[in-house]
Formats: sequence, C-alpha cells, structure tokens
Amino acid sequence: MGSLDLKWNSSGCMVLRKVESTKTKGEDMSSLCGSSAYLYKRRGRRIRCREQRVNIVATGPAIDHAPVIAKPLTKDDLIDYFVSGCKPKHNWRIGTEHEKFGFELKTLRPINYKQISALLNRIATRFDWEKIMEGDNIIGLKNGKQSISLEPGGQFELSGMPLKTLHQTCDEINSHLYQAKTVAEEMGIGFLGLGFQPKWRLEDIPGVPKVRYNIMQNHLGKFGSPTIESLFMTCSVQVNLDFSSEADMIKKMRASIALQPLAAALFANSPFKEGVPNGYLTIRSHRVGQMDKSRAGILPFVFYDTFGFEKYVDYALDVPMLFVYRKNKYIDCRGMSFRDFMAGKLPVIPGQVPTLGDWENHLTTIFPEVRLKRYMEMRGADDGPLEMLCALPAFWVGLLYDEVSLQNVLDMIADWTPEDIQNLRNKVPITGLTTPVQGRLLQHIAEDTLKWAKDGLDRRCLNESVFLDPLKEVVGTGLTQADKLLEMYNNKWGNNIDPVFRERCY
Amino acid sequence: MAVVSRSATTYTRHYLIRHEFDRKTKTCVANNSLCYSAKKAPPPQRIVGGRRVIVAASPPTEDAVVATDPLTKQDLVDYLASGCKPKDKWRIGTEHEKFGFEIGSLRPMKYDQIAELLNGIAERFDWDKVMEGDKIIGLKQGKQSISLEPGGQFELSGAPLETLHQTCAEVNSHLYQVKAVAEEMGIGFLGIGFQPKWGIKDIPIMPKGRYDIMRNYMPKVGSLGLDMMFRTCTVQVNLDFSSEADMIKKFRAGLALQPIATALFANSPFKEGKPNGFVSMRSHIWTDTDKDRTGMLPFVFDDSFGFEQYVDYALDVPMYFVYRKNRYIDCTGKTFRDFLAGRLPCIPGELPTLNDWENHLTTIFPEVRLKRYLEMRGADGGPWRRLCALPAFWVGLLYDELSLKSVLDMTADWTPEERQMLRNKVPVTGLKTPFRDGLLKHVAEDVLKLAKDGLERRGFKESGFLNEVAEVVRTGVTPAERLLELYHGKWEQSVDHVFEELLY
Repeated sequence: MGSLDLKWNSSGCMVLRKVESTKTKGEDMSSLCGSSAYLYKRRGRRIRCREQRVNIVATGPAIDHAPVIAKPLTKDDLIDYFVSGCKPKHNWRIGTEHEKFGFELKTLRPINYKQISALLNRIATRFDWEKIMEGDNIIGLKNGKQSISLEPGGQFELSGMPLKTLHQTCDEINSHLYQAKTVAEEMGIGFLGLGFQPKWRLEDIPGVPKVRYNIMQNHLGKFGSPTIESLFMTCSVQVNLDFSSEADMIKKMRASIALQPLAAALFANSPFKEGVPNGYLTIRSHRVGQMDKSRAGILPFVFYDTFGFEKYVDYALDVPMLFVYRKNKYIDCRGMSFRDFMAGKLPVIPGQVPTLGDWENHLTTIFPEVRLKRYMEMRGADDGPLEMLCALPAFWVGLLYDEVSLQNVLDMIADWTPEDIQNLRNKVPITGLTTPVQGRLLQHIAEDTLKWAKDGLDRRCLNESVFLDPLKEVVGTGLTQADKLLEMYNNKWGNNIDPVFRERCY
Repeated sequence: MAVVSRSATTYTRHYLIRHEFDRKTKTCVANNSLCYSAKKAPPPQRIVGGRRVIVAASPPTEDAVVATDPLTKQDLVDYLASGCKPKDKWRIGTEHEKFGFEIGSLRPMKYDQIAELLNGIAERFDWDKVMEGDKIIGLKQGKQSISLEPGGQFELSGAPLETLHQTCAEVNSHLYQVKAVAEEMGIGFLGIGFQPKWGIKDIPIMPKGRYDIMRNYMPKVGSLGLDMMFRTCTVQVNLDFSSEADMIKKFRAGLALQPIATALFANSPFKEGKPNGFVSMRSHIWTDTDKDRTGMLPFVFDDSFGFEQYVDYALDVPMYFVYRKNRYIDCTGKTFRDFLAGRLPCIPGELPTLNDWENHLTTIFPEVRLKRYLEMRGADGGPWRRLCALPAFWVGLLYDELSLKSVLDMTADWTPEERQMLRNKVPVTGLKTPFRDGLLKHVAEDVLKLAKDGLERRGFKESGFLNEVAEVVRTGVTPAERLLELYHGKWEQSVDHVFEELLY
C-alpha cells in the first residue's frame, strides 16, 4: 500500500528536522527549506478565527506552488536531501503511523466518503484540528505535528508526531483512538484493526475523491489486482526512525530489510478475504509483495558494498513517476522516470525541470519494505489491536536505536543473501513463524531478535520494554493474531466472518 | 474537602487565562496592585533542552510582593470583579480526585509510592515537577496540573477548555497516563467519594506544610474535618461569569441546585468496610467540618449581594496560614480583616498582599465558591463517565441564558430553610428526599431537561455526556444505592469488591 499523505507528515517533520539538524545544506536545499519553514511558521502563527476554522487549502505536498529555483536540480541535490536527515542520537525520534478500516456498525459495510467527511469535520470541530482540503473535499486533518489522512480505500490513518519515548507514542495513539471513536460511535461507525479487509470485495469499497489516487489506480491497475488491493484493502502500522550518518543509515537499512519478514510474521493479522480464510496469515504482506515490482520489494542493492545515499537516489530516479503537482493540479506522468524529469523530458510538461518538492512527492510513490527519506520507514507489519500498534515501534526502536542490539542483528544476518531474504519475504505471508531460514525456524530467530529488542529498550532506561509483552506471547506460543482469529473462525464463530468486526473493533 | 493546593493551582491556571486576556486587550482590568503583581509573576519560560523543575509550592509567587500601598477592601472586591469576561471567553475547568491503592492489599498508597508515580509520569509524559523543598508534591503541564490532597488523593486540575468534548478527552488522556505508570507499580485508582474501607489511622499523610496547620486546627471547629481532609474525593467544575449581575444569578442557581447535583452524583455509601447510612457521606462530612467556612451562604440570596458582600464574608472567615519565605506560618484564629489592619500576632505589623488574599480564598469551602470564577463543589468523585457528566450538567444550566433563567424562576420562592433542609437531608435520602409536594427526583427531572436544552443550544452536540445522570434521574437510584445493592447482593457484604467495580 502507498502512503502518499506521508508527504504532509514529512513536511511537518521536515520543518522540525530543519531546526534540529546541524548539517549544512546546499544552496538550493536551503532556499526550498527556507520557503517551507516560512510557510510552516506563518501558518502556525495565524490567528485562528473563533467562528470559522482555518482551512489549509493544500493537499499532501506542503507547498502549493513549487517555487522555481535559480538553478536546475542536480543529482547531488537529491543526495543531499537524504544527507540532511542525519541527526545526532539525542535528536532521534519515533514517528508512528497506523491505518484502520471504518465500517458501519449495523451493516458492517465500509464507510463511504460522505461518512468520512462528516467524521473528519466533527473531529476538527470538537478537538480543534485544522482541515486539509482538496478543492471542496476534505481529505485530512492536521494538529501540530500530527495528521489524519485517507488512503485510497478510505482507510483512516493517523500519522503521529516525532516523539522521544514509546510511552508518549502509546499515549498519542490512545488519545487519537479516543477522539475518533467518540465521534464515530455517534455516527454508528466502528474502526477495525486488521491488515486486510476481511469481508468485502474490491467493488464494495467506495473510493475517496483524491486526484492522485485516480492517477495511481489508472497507472498501477495494469500491474494486476494485487497492486490495487494493496491500495484499497490493506491497513498497516509503521514506524519512522532516524539515523546519525550514512554509515548508520546503511546498517539500519540492512538490518531492517532483512528482518522485515520477521516483523510481518510477528504482526500477521490478515487471514481473511471476502468472508473466508484466504490461506495466508498475512495477505496484506503477500499482496504488497506482488505489487508493481519497479517500486516495491526488498531492495537487494542495499546489501551491496557500494550502497549509500547515492545508490538509493539512483534507484529512485528510475522508478516510474506517477504524477507532478502544479497549480493545485495533479498531472499524470505515467511511464516516465524522474531521471527524464531531471533532463526536462516529461512530455506532459515539456521543458519543465523538477524542484525539490517534486523529489519529495516522487519518493512517497515508492513502496519498498523499508523506505528511505530523511528518515527510514519500517513498513512490513499488519495493523492490529492497540497493544500491537504500540509493540511495533517498540520492536524496531529496541533493535535499531541501540548499537549493541543493532550489531547483533547485523552479525546474525551477515551471511544471509538477498536471495535468502527474498525467499523469506515470499514464504512468510503463508507459513509465518514456521518458515525455515538457513536451517532454522523463523520462530527461533524471533526469540533471539526479541531478546535483543528488549535489551535495546532496557538500555534506553525508559522502562519501555513492557510494550514488547504482546510479542513475547506471540513468540512464546507460536500463535500470531491471525492464528488466533482463524481458530475463532473455525470454532466459536462457526465459520461466520461477521464476529471479526466485533473482535477487532477498536 | 480541603482544596488548598487545588485552588492555588487553579489560581495558576486562572492567572494564565488572565495573563492571556490582558495581553490581548492591552489593558489592565484590575487596579495597580494586581497589575503589579501580574507583571512580577509572568508565566514561567521552559528551559530549552532540560526539564524545568518548579521549585515552588502551589502559590505561583514564592515570596509575596509587598505592594506599594496597603491593600484596601476595594482591591479585594476588584480582584473578584477582574474575573468578569465576555461570553465567548467562558471556559470549562474540571478537577477530579481519586484514591490510589495497592492492588493486592487494597491499602492506600504511601507518599513514597506517590512520589514514584509523579516522577514516572513526569519522565514519560513530559510534565514539570512541582516541589516543596526537596519533596515532589505535584506536576504541571501547560494549563493542567496534578496535585495531592492531604490523604494522598490524586487530583487532576484540568485546563480551561471550550467544549465538553475537550474536557472528556483531557480526563481520558490523564487517566491513560496515570494508569500506564500506576499499573507497573501495582497501584490502582478508585473513583468514589469517600474511602470505603480504611480508617484515618491507616491513611498516610502527605508532607505539605499547609496540611499540618489544617490538621491541627480542624478538630477544634468540627468533628469531621479530618475525615474531610483525608478520606474524601470530589469532582468539580469551574465556570466563568460575564458581570456581577451574571455572577449573582449563577451563584444563586448553583447554590440552590447543589443538593441536586449531590444526589445525582452520590457515590459514598461505605465507611470502614460497611454501609455508613448515607448515599453521600462526603457531602455529610462537610456539614460538620467548620461552620465558619462552609455552607449554603444564605446571604447570596439577599438583595444586597454582590462582590462586596462575598468579600465581607471572606474577610471574617478565620485564616489558616500566611506563606512567607517558603514557609507556612500558622495564623489560625485570626481573620483577614485583622490582617488588613496589620493585627496578626503571628506576623506582627505585616500587611497582606493580593497573593495572601488569593491563598485565603482557597481555604474557604462553601458549596459554591467564588474566585475569579465560580466552583461547583457538591459532587462525589466517580467513574470516568460521571467525571464528564458533572461539567456537562452545570454548563448546560449556567452557560445558557434560557436554562439559567428557568432555574432561577424555579427556585425563586425556595426559602433559605428549604435550601438548608435539602442540604442536610440529601446526603441521607438522595433523590428520595421529600420536597414540597413531591420528591427531589421530580425536581431533578426538570433540572436535567434544562441542562440538556442548554447544552443543545450551545450547538456542540454535548448532551450525550448527560446520559449517565439521565439514567440516575429516570430510575431514582443514585450510584451509591447501586453500590449498596451490589454489596448486599453478589458481593455478599464484602466491601473489597468496590475496588474492582470502581477501578479506573
């Protein structure tokens, strides 16, 4: 699945990071960042009218109209964009995002856009969020550094703010769920914490009126139903984490890509499709793995000795573009690459060359298992209950934010080949923790990894390892959320899917 | 219920409101003394990169500033008048208390445990610590504060908020944070109005200077003062007024209906493991705490009532203490009127500052208290949904002109004797208290409708928060009576189950 509205969140983070980063930026970067910071600050200082909400008439991109910069972007500018994400360890933060399916409590049907917009408007009014509009359509909300956005199938997403501790992260999720539920219950709406739509077919799911999604659907449709299903029928939880240097980024990318299948197994929570078991523990993971290969996958090149920021840029330059955003309009760029854009060779906007804002937008249309921006996004886990939403950032923070645990992971995977990882990636959606890897079961690797995560959290001295308890149970019993749901389906639910909506309602 | 620290903390909250208001209007609403005081105590600035520890007890100003001119009575009146604000600036400030207990033994938590809890919340959720000497006595975050009552009752004083939705979200968030830390320590919190199981001797005393003075003084003036200090928990809402005339109306409506709120929220039927014969023991306790500083304030209903009359009343309430150089000085027995004349033996020759006046006002405990806003103080603490219902009840009645007028019309011919009778009887008979030719339940039905209509006219879809009390009114059964039914029924007369039933 894609998370295009990350762009908005990314912008919020960008402003934060700009302030915090000690890295000197290139001239072009500075002017753009200055522009963003200015827009952000000005917006933040705006005096709010009592009788009417401030409407941000901008969609995902933070910048309505990309400023035309003095000189064309160079490849170094693109690389420097990533370099600017480096920050000292004491400034590392935790940004968690999760999605959920809204459904009518009475009929269990997915909520339509009309219901979603009423929901967004009420949350805005009651809890003082600012509305994000696309023309006349409300498509999200913003409150400080938090944002609420919609995915193509109406999945309702919280992008959390960068926080220091997992306690704050879990507190933030709790508050968000309280607000969403308070309003939703009045409307007869519930939210479902699963990785894949368990009951309804693709044609039953209303879309949301976002232009970019129309373009995405048209373009990605030719790659088959897995890609479309990934967009419309999946919900994930992800955590966004920082790095201190290129070397640190490389280590974290390798560790996290190698272990992303393990996270998929631990958090597996999507065993149903169209009302019946689908043969997978996590069909979300399977569907994402079948997406458009040019923009998804485990990125084998990350494990080559040559990998660094530049190699990621090279990769991204050749991922086909989806759109360019100009004058409040999305322009379909299907088929061309950003490298073409750099050379001014986009037929749809002949002669135009990209801005850094275009680069940011383009990066949000790439969906690898771990995505690099000015931070890294761990994208391999199904959405689940509140305790699992808190466990996901705990898992990755414990492993990646502690040098000892990170080194342990790197040592363990040192002799894993990209083929091993791909094989794991392919099998895990079906066999989960029972998947064999290099002569061991994934469950045993999970035991070791979970211990390192716990030790990593303990060394942070913030009493955070309690958040790993749900994973201890999964590893200890070998039963994922998906296994438990299948057991209930086959037994007390009498092969009826409907009770899952109550079982997994937030 | 002693609310010295709470109220002083409330001062901080209100002060910040005032500060904001002053800044916007560029005028000083009160006289020079207030303006001077305000300038001397600007909102604290957060130290970048480090946790700021507020090394001050509840008064925002450590050392009272000596005003150039001695305070006059008019200054005291103006202090109250400065609370007037236009309707669009009216806010809702909710405070609630809860009993912390060890989950295994059900014993009240000790100060060491509370300190650990406060420190845990401060570290995890980024609150600033409030210290008294080297002891942590509370937390602060923005306009919210957490403080301790004499028996370790754990209190949230909420931020001034615009809607009940925000109020309820604030309570929810607070409870989440407290529980996140408390559960790891094996501590739970109980939403009830009076300690159901333990005696006063079992309850640890919090190390706060002012409580020592109060603890010594209370037994001299009433038989239940120590019970009030150590064993009660309340929920209250603080509301604004637009003018003296508006204040008078709200004060009268609030006082007259306070017994109805007491009945609707009655939630303290147990004492030392057994039924105590009341539906609200907490409310009963206030009837014999200290008659000089509690009660139904009959003078509020006199034609002559206004800010000045409240000042006259407060001037003659005996003082507890004066706060000087980080110390509480016992001044019990003397009045603020004596202080105005420089006749306090405990600090001979000294005169009060406006901060002394603020502190003194926090030691007065009528059913409705006046500061720069009004405090509705007549309800027992209870479960989370009832913590949201209490502000909904009063906002619906007092923040809507039509409902307020209807309440005033309804109560216009209630005599002081009738109001006092309700005050005395409701703790025992709740909604079944006979009143005129019916029961209080019938009055409650009318009042609840007025509250609901008032909320609906606000246009924020807030009337759902009244559902909890609507059920009480419909059935005539207070929360306390439900607990008694459980006690005599499936709990088989063991009070321990209440710790599970009312655990947050």
